[in-house]
Amino acid sequence: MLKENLELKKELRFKDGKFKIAMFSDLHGCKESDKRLKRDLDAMIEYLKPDLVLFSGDMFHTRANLKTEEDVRTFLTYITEILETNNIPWADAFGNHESEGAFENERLLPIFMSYPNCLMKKNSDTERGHSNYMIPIKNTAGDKIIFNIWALDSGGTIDICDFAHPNYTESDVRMPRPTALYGGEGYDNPKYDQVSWYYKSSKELEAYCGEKVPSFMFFHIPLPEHRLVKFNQAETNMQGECREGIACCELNYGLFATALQRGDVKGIFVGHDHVNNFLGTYCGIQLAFNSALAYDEYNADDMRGCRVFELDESDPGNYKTYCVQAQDIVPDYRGKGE
Amino acid sequence: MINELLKTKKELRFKNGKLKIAMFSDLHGCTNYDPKLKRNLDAAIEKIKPDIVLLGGDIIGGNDGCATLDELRTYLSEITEVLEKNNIPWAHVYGNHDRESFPNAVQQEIYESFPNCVSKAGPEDLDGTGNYFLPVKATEGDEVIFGIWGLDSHSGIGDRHPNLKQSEVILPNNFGCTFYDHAGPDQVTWYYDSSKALESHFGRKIPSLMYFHIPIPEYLLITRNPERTGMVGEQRETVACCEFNYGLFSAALLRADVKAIFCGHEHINDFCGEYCGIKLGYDGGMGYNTYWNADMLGGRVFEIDEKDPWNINTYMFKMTEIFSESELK
Repeated sequence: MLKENLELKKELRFKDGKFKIAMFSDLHGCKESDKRLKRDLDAMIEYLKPDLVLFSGDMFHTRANLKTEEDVRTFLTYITEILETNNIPWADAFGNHESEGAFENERLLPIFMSYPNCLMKKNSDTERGHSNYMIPIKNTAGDKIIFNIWALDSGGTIDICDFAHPNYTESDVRMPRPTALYGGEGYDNPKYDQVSWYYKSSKELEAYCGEKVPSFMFFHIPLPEHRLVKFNQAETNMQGECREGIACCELNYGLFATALQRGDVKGIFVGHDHVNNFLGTYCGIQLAFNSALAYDEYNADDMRGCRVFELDESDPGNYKTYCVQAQDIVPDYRGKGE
Repeated sequence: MINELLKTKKELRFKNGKLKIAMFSDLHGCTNYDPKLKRNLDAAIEKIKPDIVLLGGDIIGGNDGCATLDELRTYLSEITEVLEKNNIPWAHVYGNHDRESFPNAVQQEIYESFPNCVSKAGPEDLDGTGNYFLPVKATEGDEVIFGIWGLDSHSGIGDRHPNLKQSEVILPNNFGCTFYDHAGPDQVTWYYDSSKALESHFGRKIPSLMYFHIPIPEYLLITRNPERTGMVGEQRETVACCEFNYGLFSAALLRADVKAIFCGHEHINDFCGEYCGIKLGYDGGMGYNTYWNADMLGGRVFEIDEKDPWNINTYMFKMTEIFSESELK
């Protein structure tokens, strides 16, 4: 477990005591994406000059019509051009739409991994999901891991496949909204085996480094606990926009409570709800969204952008995070992007 | 791991192809317990004739407790007299009140000193005392047909997270739960891994009942959706589960071996309902040295057929089946 966790195609290090991450969400790209998608992505990356780029899922549109490996590669090559050209490491945490296209995530993962700067990894310790991995980041000197990023696969719609007994699907799990526990949606979340992988890996990493390594988690579909921020805005000191509901999982697999127990996760960042980009804090853990970059799915013109993380080697756990809007960076943003 | 999971002081077996388990919780006794507690328990056991008895926590403590370990031993001897005399195996888990007199780990020795007590402390490095699996074999032969999981559901979130204030955990618009705690990540992971180890060892899943003291948040789905979950029985007080969800229900759903999860804690709830194929419910209460309702005194019975162990038949046994309400008061 530890060996696989620590491995990275390219070593990541702070540069002169600093490390900058740009997180994009819900690109919903397809074969003939709106040209402005790439225009905005490229402009923001050029402006921000991040050390690492993360995508919190739904890079593809369901209607993407990606039927072959070549289709997938055509889009990925197109959209990650600026990253691959400039050797900027990047990674995706699969959303519900990655697998709702023609391809299962299992087949998508090796395609992603074939890109020279894609840091995604296979995980032999999880039973479910295919984008479960960690990205350890070393100090400037390169002799110590001082920050970690956890990526998880939050699945699609709930499908509890139990091999000897009946499946439980969203119709079994979902209760009518007013009487549901966590909002009554049919989306999934990282499942218990994945929670267990995080728990054990976190303990192993602590043993290996001699201390807890501050980290954040990112994946696609929000947790039930993200709802607590929306419904308790003052108490969680919510900043940013909340323009829609929280389409989380109706089952709670215990990821939040487990992260709280381990005490190494400073924030849990998700996408999925395109017009939310808020951040609130519950029990000392940041719960936050990242609004959609998408043009070919529902979106908000004034929210399209990315979430930035600025880490300082002197105190990496206390990173600065804020959202950057494309409208503030892209020249002629509301032009047609020809 | 397997040896520890399967070890039992006494072999547990189906009898003539059937297994009857009786669960009683919230006895809340010790030194000065109301004698009606023993009268009722003895009568219930004589009527039900269970093969195994489970005590679902808060066995001592609350308004009453024990000043010395000897007092605990005396109380337990009296309470389990019928079980010991008839060699009925029994097990227990700790509730939030038991630890008020002594640490659970200290009490464990006394419980296990009873010849028919099959409780186990569980792995030492695991949070809490009384995290275990009990295998139940067929009437004849060595095949394990059914299993019983016990867990320590602890007491308050404040013990686990001393730096968190209640107002920080229970926000104004919360999930509807409380500051009571439950089995934490290490225990849920232990159940998940143990369940996998058992399946690997036997080549199949073992249908099981899981019991502990404090309810889990999924119980709220029963009370809020009584028709859809086939709720039977009563809710007379709030479901006082933990506001944090440690994923225990989801783990049981994924592992698909635990088909019934029952608890104590609420003395005047005795309902049962089913969510995603898992029965969730309570067992009323037994204690007098606490709050109680005469018509909610009793326990829960589980009947399993050796030929169909995935089908757990369960119903409440009420003390009013033996005594009148005035006799119970």
